[in-house]
Amino acid sequence: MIAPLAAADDANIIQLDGATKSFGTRGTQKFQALRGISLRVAPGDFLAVLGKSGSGKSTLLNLIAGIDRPTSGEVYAAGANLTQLSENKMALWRGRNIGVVFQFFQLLPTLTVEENIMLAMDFVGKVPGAERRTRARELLELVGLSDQAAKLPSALSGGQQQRAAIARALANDPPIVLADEPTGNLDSETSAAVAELFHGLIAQRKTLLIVTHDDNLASRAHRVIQLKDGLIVADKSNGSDRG
Amino acid sequence: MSTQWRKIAGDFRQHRLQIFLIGIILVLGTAGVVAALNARAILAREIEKSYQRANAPDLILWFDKVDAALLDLVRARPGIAEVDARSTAFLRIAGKSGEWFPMRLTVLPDFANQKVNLIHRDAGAWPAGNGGLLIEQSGMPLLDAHEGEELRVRTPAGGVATIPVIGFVHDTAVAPSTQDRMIYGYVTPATATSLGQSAELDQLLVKLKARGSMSDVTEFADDLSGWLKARNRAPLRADALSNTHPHAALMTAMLRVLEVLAGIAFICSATLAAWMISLWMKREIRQVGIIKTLGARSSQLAWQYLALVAPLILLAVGLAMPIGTAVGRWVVKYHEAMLNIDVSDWAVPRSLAVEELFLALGIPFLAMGMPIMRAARISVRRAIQDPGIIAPRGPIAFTSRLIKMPGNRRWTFALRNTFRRPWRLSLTLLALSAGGALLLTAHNNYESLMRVIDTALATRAHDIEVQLQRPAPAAQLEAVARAVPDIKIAEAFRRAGVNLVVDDGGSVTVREGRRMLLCGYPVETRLLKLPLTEGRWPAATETDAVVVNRHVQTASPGVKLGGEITLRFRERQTKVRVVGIVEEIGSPVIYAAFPTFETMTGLGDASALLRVKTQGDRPQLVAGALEQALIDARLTPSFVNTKSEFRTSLEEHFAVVFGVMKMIALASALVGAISLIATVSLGVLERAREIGVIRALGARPRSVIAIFLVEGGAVAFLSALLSIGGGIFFARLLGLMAERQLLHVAVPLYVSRVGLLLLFCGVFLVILGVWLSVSRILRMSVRDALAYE
Repeated sequence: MIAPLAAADDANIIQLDGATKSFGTRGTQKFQALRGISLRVAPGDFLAVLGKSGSGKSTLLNLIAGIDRPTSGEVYAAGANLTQLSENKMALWRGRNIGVVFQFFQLLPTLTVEENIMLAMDFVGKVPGAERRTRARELLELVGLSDQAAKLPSALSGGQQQRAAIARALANDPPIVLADEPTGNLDSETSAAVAELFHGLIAQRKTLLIVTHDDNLASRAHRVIQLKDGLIVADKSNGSDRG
Repeated sequence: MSTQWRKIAGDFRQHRLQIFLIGIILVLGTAGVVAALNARAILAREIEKSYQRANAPDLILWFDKVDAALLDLVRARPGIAEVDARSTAFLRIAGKSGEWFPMRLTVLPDFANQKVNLIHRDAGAWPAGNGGLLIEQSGMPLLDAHEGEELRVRTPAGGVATIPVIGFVHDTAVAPSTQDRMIYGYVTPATATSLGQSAELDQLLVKLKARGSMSDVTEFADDLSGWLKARNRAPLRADALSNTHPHAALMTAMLRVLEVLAGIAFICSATLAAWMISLWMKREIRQVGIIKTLGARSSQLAWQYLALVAPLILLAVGLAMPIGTAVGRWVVKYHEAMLNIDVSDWAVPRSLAVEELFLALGIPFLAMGMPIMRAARISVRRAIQDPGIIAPRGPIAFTSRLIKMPGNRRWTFALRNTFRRPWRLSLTLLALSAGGALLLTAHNNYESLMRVIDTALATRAHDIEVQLQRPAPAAQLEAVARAVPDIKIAEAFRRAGVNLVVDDGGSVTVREGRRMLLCGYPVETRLLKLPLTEGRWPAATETDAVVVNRHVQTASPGVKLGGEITLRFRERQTKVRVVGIVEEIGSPVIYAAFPTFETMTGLGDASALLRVKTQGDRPQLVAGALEQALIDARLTPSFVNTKSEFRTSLEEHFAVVFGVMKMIALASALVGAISLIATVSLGVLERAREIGVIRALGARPRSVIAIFLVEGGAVAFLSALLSIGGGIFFARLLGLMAERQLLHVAVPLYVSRVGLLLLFCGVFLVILGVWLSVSRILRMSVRDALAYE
């Protein structure tokens, strides 16, 4: 079990107020990916974000991760107003508070699995240097890859790479884990194992927000929101409507 | 327009900057290859033709006087093609600035009907009439004189005569005046008398019908001398000539440099083109997958991309060929003046032009085609799922793990990235280090040679050397010199031309046609302090011992320390022992103390060479005063040379080779800079998504920049190391060539600080390029970086 490094016990760990996001340049018609979304997520919640392609799922995730900035509106996460953070502060905030899991894993190919996890700790400096290797090994044990620590990502299967990517996302013990179609590139058996792994994070009081088309993964969520044309059209919790 | 062509046109528009940079590199690389190959081909042909056109003599016979009967007698001898009579004298001539230069004055009886050692009109009067002086055109910049202007000439009697310059000639058998600091003048016998010279001709220049080896020519000279002696017309001496241009060694070195440069330019441009296309194709992988999913075959894709690069290559070659030809002509033009040759034909051999076209088109197509074919053959699944981050494969995956920086994954990550693409890394290193090595070689070599010269000059105890038009008693010479203010030591030396004699199977024969200078020195000399490489200087009591310089050994390898040699001066032959070998820059010289010199020559107290050591730091002024003092004493000098003039002359000689090297080094620096900017920016763009991932993990911009700076720095550092290694290796190679063929003194290697500084600037440029490129990517949002294709 990984000991939490910081408690995230605010009423809402994620809060969006009228967040919009438009794309397009001068001279071209602007495309509105998000149209004034407001959303509140409590600590320890597990949210599945559903929607068709182009509905604004990934954009929502990017705004919460500080990977992108809203065109208007406010985004608060882990106690910070993301619209007011500089690029430097945003990077540090992201490293400490957000764990990102990509669809195509995006492990750094020249580093071993263990080094990939330790590099994330190196960037942020939250975990003391002497403890980083031990923590990386504990995380790899958590995802069942302790015997693969010294291998390069290319030597691992897709499922193993995604588990390694989850371990890396947890490297700095972030209170929020965001995943963009984490099982989209995996077979059903491996997807189930990864879904189980995500579910296990709930016990660690992690707030999970996962964009997915995977019904199995969505069914494990506490709350499912549905996006359509940049708007939240449905917000269900444990089978009952919330909004 | 078909859809495929519209896509090609669209790709062109979208990647116009990268395509422009690739095009520029192709143009510069191809133009460099064409320029070097063309220049080499034209110069190799024209150097030879130019010297042959001069119809240089194979041997020279010296007499007291040459008359028409003697000329006819020699001309009738079987085996002789042509004979010409002339005489030469060494005078001093003043330029318009008032500076005096040595002048070799050639007296020609008939300018319109020359047979051997032909000179031809460059400007002004032709053929030369009486009452005027023709000057070899390379002397014009030294004298700053123009046609019709009058110049002052020292007469043997010590007076000053004024003579108009009536024109300029081209004598392709002599080195340029600017290099030897020697003016070459040409007059008729009548004009010679107005300068106080004899109108009598005393030399016969002989051209053989079929010239064999050097020993064949020497043998012919011996036979001819014996034959003339039997007819009571014995020559004073007969010199067999090597029939090579005085700067043949420099020319060979310069042509070799051009060959090497053509090779380097070729490798650089081909590798850079291959690398840049490979980078570009990496970015196209996902598009390849998409197009293949739409049903395109590998061959269709390959053709599509080849069709994209084909106009680029054609345009680049279309531009590069005329640019390269023009630059090649400029290089030839530069050397035409530096080598004093006549270039009559500027055409490049057709076969070479075809080869160049084949190389210019074929190599880029091949270099760019390989990454295109590789990308086109990739499977749809791999192309579509390309994560944008390239994983190391095969043995590299294993060896990359061996690179580990203790305690810091960021540096480990950066260094492993450097070696992630070994083939691409090799190409980059090859291109960068070839340019760096070239730059460093030019500087190392130049500074090594100039240091050798400075060291050699430092061992010369005298500051000024004076040669006289006529010999004079040593005591008189020294007395005149010592009366000049600031002259500390003055010593008169003696000189004579001698031939080496070899005992050839019982009959003694004069061999080794090259004449050598025998230099007689005072027994108690304080001004002859050449460094001994072997043996010792003769003791005061020894009258049969000599010291030779390394040039003598090069010209006659049989001459060894402790060995005996027989030297012939006119009819006198003397056997002497070689007791020491010395090093000096110059020509073959045998040193003998006055008693030994007298035994060998019997010339008595007749010195034509004066060496002086000055005090103070203005030897140039002292040289002027000494020259005036000697003239006042009716001891007219033909040649006055200070240390700094000697150094300038040698520097001018080296400029033949280093001019090219510096030019190409500058060009390589330009190509290198453009390549760097292009490759670094493309390399960083390729990894935009990777940068996005790192930033998503929490890396701050400065951490990302630091990672890329370590990568760029590692490449730059490795390139610099290879450049230094290459620079040292090639400089040593060129140094050895100069040691054996040119200077005949040891040339120790010196690593140039200026070269290292320039290399450091190159490293800085790499790092700056990386910093600028990464900063540009960092201006993208993390989302854009992650989505970058």
